[in-house]
Amino acid sequence: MIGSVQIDKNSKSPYRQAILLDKGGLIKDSCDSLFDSSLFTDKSIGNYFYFLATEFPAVLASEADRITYNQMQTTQECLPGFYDFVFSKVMIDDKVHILWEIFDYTNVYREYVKVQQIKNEIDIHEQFLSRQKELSDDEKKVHSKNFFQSEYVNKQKLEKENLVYQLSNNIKRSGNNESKGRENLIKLKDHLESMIIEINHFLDQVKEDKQTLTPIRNLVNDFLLTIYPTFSDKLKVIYNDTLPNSVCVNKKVLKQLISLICRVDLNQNVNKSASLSIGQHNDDHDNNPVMSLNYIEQLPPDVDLNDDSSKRIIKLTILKSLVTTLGGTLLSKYSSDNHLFGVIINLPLKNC
Amino acid sequence: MISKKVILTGSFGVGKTSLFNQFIHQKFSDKYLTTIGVKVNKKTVEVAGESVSLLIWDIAGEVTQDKVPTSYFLGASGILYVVDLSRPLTFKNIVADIEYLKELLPGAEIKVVGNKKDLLSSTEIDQVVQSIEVPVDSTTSAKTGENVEGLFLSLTKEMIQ
Repeated sequence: MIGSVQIDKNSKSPYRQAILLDKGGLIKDSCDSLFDSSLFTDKSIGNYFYFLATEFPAVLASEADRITYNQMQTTQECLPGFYDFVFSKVMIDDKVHILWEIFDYTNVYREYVKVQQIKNEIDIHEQFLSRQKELSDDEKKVHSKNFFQSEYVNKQKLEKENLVYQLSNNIKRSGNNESKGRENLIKLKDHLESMIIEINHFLDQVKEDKQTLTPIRNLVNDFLLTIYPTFSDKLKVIYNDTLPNSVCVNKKVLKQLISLICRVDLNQNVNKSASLSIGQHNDDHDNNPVMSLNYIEQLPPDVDLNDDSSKRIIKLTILKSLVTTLGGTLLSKYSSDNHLFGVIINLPLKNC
Repeated sequence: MISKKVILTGSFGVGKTSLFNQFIHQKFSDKYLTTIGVKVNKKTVEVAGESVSLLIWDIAGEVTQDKVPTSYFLGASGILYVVDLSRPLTFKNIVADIEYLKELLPGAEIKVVGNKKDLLSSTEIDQVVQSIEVPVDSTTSAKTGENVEGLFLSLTKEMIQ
C-alpha cells in the first residue's frame, strides 16, 4: 500500500488524470486533466461510472495494492473514449483511500480497433471459406454475405492514411481467384497479427513511463542499439545550431524520432534527410514553442508508390496517434512527381 | 439493491456485443464491429421479488480465455460463455476454457450460450448442440431477441440464490 499521495494540480498531462477517492467513492482530490471533478462533489462517483459499483469493493477487498484495467471503453460524456485505469490503495490519516489513475489512450486504441477489426473479419471469412466446402449451394448463399460488411471497410471516403480500405481492396481484387485469394488472406492475416503484436509492444513501452517525451526514448532504445547504426551513414541529418541545449530538444531526441519513423520504412537503402527546428506552430494559440521534425526520403524509381504507402500506413497511423496523445501532430506526404516520402512531426515543448 | 457483475466472454465475432445491445437497448445491427478491451453497462431486473442491478461487462473476444486479462474477472458473479452455432471454431476450446473459468471464479455461475440460432434450422441447431463438448444452457438469437431476456433473468436468479 502506498503511504501517501500528492496530486500535483499544476502539472497537467494531456492524457493522465489522478483522482483520490475515499472508501465511499467520494472524490477527495483530483488534478482534473481530463474532466472536471467538481461535477461529482458530494456524490459517490460509482453512481456515474457503472464499473466502479462492482470494482470499487473488489479493489478494496483485493490483496493486491494495485490493479490495472486496460482498454476500458466508456460512453460517459466526460470520458468518451478508451482508457487504462489503475487503482491503488493509499493510506492517508490511517484511512484507506483509492487512487484512481486514468490514462487516455483513445487515439491509439481507435487505430488499434481498425487493425483488430480487419484481422477478425479475415479470420471469420477464412472460417466460412473452410466451412463452405461442407455446405450445399443454398447454404453458401447465406454465408457469403458476411464478409466485409464492417463500417470501416465499406466507407468509401476514408482518409488517405487508412490502410484498412486499401487492404480490403487488395483482397477484393484477388477475390476472383479462390486459391490466390485465400493465400492473400492468410498473408494479410499474418501481417496484421504481427502488427497487433507490434502495437501492443508499442503501447507497453508507452505505458512504462508516464513522462511526456520519455516514452519515445524508451520505444526506440533497442532500435537505436541494433538497427540504427547499420544505415545511419545513409541518413543526412541537418542540425539547427540555434536549438537550445535542453533535455527535450537535443540530437538524441532527434535521432530517436527519426528512428521511430524509420521503423515504418521498408526501404532502408535509400537517401534520407531530416531537419529539426524550434518555433511557433501556426495553430498554437497559446504561444508555446513547438519542436518540428521534417523527415524526407527519396524513394528508388522502381518503388510503386501505391504499394509502398499501403505498407507503411498502419505503422504511421499508430505513430500519429501516439504523437497526438502527446499533444503533437504528424503529417505524412507522398510526392509522386519527385518520388519523395515525407513526414513532419510537431511536438509541443510545454510538457517537457 | 443487490449489484452483480456479469461477464460476456467467448471467441471474437460470436455476438457478445449484440447480446449486450439486445438485452440493454433492445437493438440489433447486422454490422460486425470489433470490441477491444471492455464496455460496461448496467440494467436493473426484477427477479423473485428482488431488484438486481446487473453490471454487464462486454469483453473483447479471445480465441482462448487465458488470454483475457484476469483483472476483468475480478468480483464477477456470473459468466456467459458465448459461442457462434454457425462457426465450429468458436467452441473448439470450450472444455479448457470452462475449466479455466471455473478455476478462476469458483463461486461464479457459468452458462454456455449458443448464439446466432437464426442462421441455422432447428435440426442443424440440435446437431451442433450435440457436437459441443459441454452442455449448452441456452440457444439464442441476438438478431431476433429470442431467449435473450430469459437468459439474463435465469442467470440472475441463479446468482442471487
